[in-house]
This record gives sequence, C-alpha cells and structure tokens, in this order.
Amino acid sequence: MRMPAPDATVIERRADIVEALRGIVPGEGVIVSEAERRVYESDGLTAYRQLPLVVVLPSTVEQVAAVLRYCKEIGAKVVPRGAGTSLSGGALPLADGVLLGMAKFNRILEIDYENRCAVVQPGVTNLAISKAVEHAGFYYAPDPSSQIACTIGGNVAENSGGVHCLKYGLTTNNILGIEMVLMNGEIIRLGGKHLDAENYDVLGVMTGSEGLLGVVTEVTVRILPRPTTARALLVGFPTTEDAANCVAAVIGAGIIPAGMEMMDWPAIHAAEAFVKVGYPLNVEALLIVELDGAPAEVDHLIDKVEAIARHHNATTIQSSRDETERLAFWSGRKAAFPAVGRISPDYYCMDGTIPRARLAEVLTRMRTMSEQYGLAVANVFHAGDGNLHPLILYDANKPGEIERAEAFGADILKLCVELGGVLTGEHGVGVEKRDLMGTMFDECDLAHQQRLKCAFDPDGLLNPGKMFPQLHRCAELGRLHVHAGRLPFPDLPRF
Amino acid sequence: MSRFAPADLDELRDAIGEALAMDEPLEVLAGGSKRGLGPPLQLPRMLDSSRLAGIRDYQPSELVLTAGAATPIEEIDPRLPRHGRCSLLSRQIWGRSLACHQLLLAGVPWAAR
Repeated sequence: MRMPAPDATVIERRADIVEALRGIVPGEGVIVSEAERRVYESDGLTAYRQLPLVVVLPSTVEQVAAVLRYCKEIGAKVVPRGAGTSLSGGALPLADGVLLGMAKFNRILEIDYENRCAVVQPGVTNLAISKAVEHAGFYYAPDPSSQIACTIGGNVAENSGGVHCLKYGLTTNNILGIEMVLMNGEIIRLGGKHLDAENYDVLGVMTGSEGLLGVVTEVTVRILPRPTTARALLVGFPTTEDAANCVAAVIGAGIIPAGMEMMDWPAIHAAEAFVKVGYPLNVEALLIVELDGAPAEVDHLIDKVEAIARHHNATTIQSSRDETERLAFWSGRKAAFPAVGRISPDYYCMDGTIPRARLAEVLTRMRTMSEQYGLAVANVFHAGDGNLHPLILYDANKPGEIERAEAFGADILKLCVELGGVLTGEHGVGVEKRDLMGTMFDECDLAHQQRLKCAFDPDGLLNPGKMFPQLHRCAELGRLHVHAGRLPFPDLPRF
Repeated sequence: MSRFAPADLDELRDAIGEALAMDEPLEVLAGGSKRGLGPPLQLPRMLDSSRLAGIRDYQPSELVLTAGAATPIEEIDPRLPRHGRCSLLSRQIWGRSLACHQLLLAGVPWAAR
C-alpha cells in the first residue's frame, strides 16, 4: 500500500506543532507519547498500521476549527477519526499527519419527538441514539454491525447502512442536517430539522465523503416510530443459487422486507457452533427475511414470502412465533463475523455490491476463485441489497497468505463491477479499494470527483491517500480555457 | 436562435461541445413547463432535450427503472403496478405531467421521503 510520501519538513517541526496544538486544546487533549499514539495506529482494517505524527482530541467546535485552520496554515495533513471502526482504512493515520479524534463529542444535544429528529454530536455511537429514544417507541434506522461502537460522525463519513437499510435507507436517507468545519476553519451548517436541505445537495455530497471534505461536528438524525410488529423467516435451501434466486423473486414480487440476509454453508456452520440457536445444518444456504409493519400486513407478507421460497425449492421454513424467537434467528447472523473468527486465524472482510439477479452467478464464480487461490471463503451478507460481504479465510502467519487474500478480494470486487455492481456497498473506499477505483471509473470520472474535493480542500490536506488512486494538485485538474488571451487565475503556478 | 434537439448522448455532447467552442451560452429546455416564470432568456442557442425520452430498462427485482431524461412520469407510472410498485412521483404542473429531469433538477419532493 503506497501512501503519500511523508513531508519531512512537517515531521521535523513536530515539537512546534505539538506546542501549538496544546495551545488550542489544553489539558489531556494532545497525545504525544508513542505508547499512547499506538492506540490510534489503525482502524478496523488492521492489516495497515501507521503511527500518527500526533493525536489531538478537541472537545469544542471552535477547537476543531482552530486545529484545522492551524494545520492549513503550516501545510500539515489531518486525518479525522470517529471510533476507528472503518473496515476500509478510512482513518488510517499518516506519519506526517495530525490525527483528529472526535471521541469527546459524545453528547446527545436534543431529542425532538414532534419533529421526529435528534441532534447529536458526532462521537455518539449509532446504537446510543436508538437507546436514547426507545422508551418513547422510536429508533434510528441505519444499523451497521458495528453499531455498538461506531459513531454517527463516522456513519456520515461512510454513508453506513446495515441490515435494515433495504427498507429504511442508508445514512444519507436518515439525516436531516449537519454542522461541519472546513479545512480552512470555516464552520458551516447544512440542512436542519426540516426535510429537503436547501440549494445544492451539499449534505448529500458530504454523506459518504470519507473525511476528505470536512469534519462533521453535529448531526441531526431522523428518528422513526418502531414498527408495531416484526416477524422473521428462517429459510434453508439446497443450493446457494436457489437462495439467490429467491431473493430476487421476493423483491420482484413487490415486497420490501425490513431485512433479507443470506449465509452460506461455512457461515451457517460457524454461526451455529458459536451461538447454538438451531440453524439447519443440512442446507447450503440460509435466508433470514424480516417483515415489519402492522400485524395483518406482516402475516400476509410472511405467507407470500413462504410461498415464493417454496417455489424456489426451500427445504426448511421456520417463522418466528414471538420476539424471543425472532431475536434468536438473528443472533446467529449478528454473531457470524466473530463466529468465523473462531474457525480461521484471520479473515479479510470484503464489501461489494451487485445487481440482485446476479447473486447466484457471483457466488458460483467466487467458489471457483476460492479453489484457484487456495483460500476458503464464507459468505454472510445483505442479500436484499445485493451487498456482499465475503469473508476470505487466511493465516497471516503463513508467508504470502495475506497477499493472496488481498488479491482474491480484489478479484471479487472486479467481478462485482464486471457484473454491473460497485466496489463498495457500505464500508467505503478508504485505502482498501483505492487502487481499484480505476476498474469502476475512468480518468474523466475521477478527475471530476477530485475537482469536487478541491472545492472543499484545495491543498489536499484532509485525509489524503484515501479514495483517489492518484493524487493531483487541484490546478492540474482544470482544463485551461483561455478566452480572448485572458488567462484565468494568472497568479496560479502552471505545471 | 439555433435550436438543438439531440437524440442520444453523442449528439448531446456535440451540442454542448459546440456551444463551448463558440463560447456561446446555452438555454436548456426540457418540457418547457416553467418557461413562463421570470423574464425570458434570450440566448443564441437552445438545447431541447425532449428527444431524450423513453423507458430503456426496467428490472423489478433490482428496484430500478432507467428512462431518458425527458420521459414523462405518466409514461412510467402505468408500468409499475403490475409488479406491486409505484413511483410516488406523479406530479403535474398546470395539468402537465413532469418529466424525469424536471423532478431531478427541481428536487421535487414526495410524501413518503
């Protein structure tokens, strides 16, 4: 993994930078010692590690603005970080970069039931929002697997999804407004408690921007009334193809389940060995389909999905009779990642999205690749969204296995793009998929995206080395249009 | 005034490229439903997008329908109910159905958002 070359002049000035940051964030908010910085050396993608130059933990918006303004003045890079749960290396530090941790922004500022929203600081965890409003019958819909730890600021940066985003949308569909700080220290607000943010959809641009455009300091999220009824179906199939075809058929029949998840044979066995909830072990694929809404609607849809499943050769069908059983169905799915961790020393979690109708084809080709690379793969994924999470099993202690796992993962993602899908469903590009962006976008596409980045951060100081496979100076990206001999921006150096 | 009505992406690119090369502003016209609002534009070139219309692809299992930008919503809506779908976007202005790009450019909201 090639990252931007560290700027030696910034590293040499480390002592001055630390002193200046301590002037902005007094007390314990500046972390300097190697042992303490080690905590921040990686995020959820632990294959990549780098000690940051220094860590700063501001607790006010003004401090965030002052830190960014100072870093811009001295030309120092900044890597924003929420809880550090990114699976794509979005918060991977830089040797010459200030790591800006937002953990101290951990308060829920306001809950407004009349407007069905909550105003929260970015360091509040995803699950804490639902917990704060559950007594009133509300919840926050996006529910990434890491929801107990991941923060809403990171969710905005990655446009996080989760099991229920099939019906209720991703983060972008569930936030109403943000406050953010630009690299030059300007504090701006987008949207608010109302629907439909004004003017250009900059809120939409920010959501999923992976910390490259600004630092979020407040989020207004939508909260939804919890559905009165939710029931789940546990459906086993003799082949993954049958299960995949069933997924497309359910959606094609006009049914949008609250969640529709799939596990293949290795994942089923790993999960059942871990949680022992009675998953059928004589099937090749298992679907968990959750329907929610009014009781009569849910009962009707359960019947319809059961009929579709039978038509697609389902061999076992169980429907949850009460909440305990519904949660039991889900417990294996929710524990699937740690369960797979028990059967392999290491695994590499991929994230790509394909059209649902191509699920069967992708799973078949993945099996062939698995044999070619000599590495097993377990699949646990959001089938309803076509969002794959293949877990490639490897042993980091065996020479060459991590490289093989990465190459296998890259081939899976290229296959996703080849079949009309995309490189990432919800984990982001980060450093992990950065060098694959060329398989999905041509140079013109990437240049336009980088121009947008330049509008926010013309010096390229905010989270560089992520998302874009090649760094360009902003002036390189514009085609020079000389009209009537007048050179635009004559003060800019030309390359 | 020169009026261009491209039939495909290549012709559209050529029309915009030519205006850029001539350094002439371009009025972009869709269905013309809002043309009466505000003072009239008097520009040397008009890009009429009305030929970029028609449903190109509909895959109910993908929850995706692809249509040309000028496709009226009233052409799309009748295709959907047979698969248990509706677009939620049926809107009219002054008795005329809106086209896809009008919904997009105006950010037209719908109740279920």
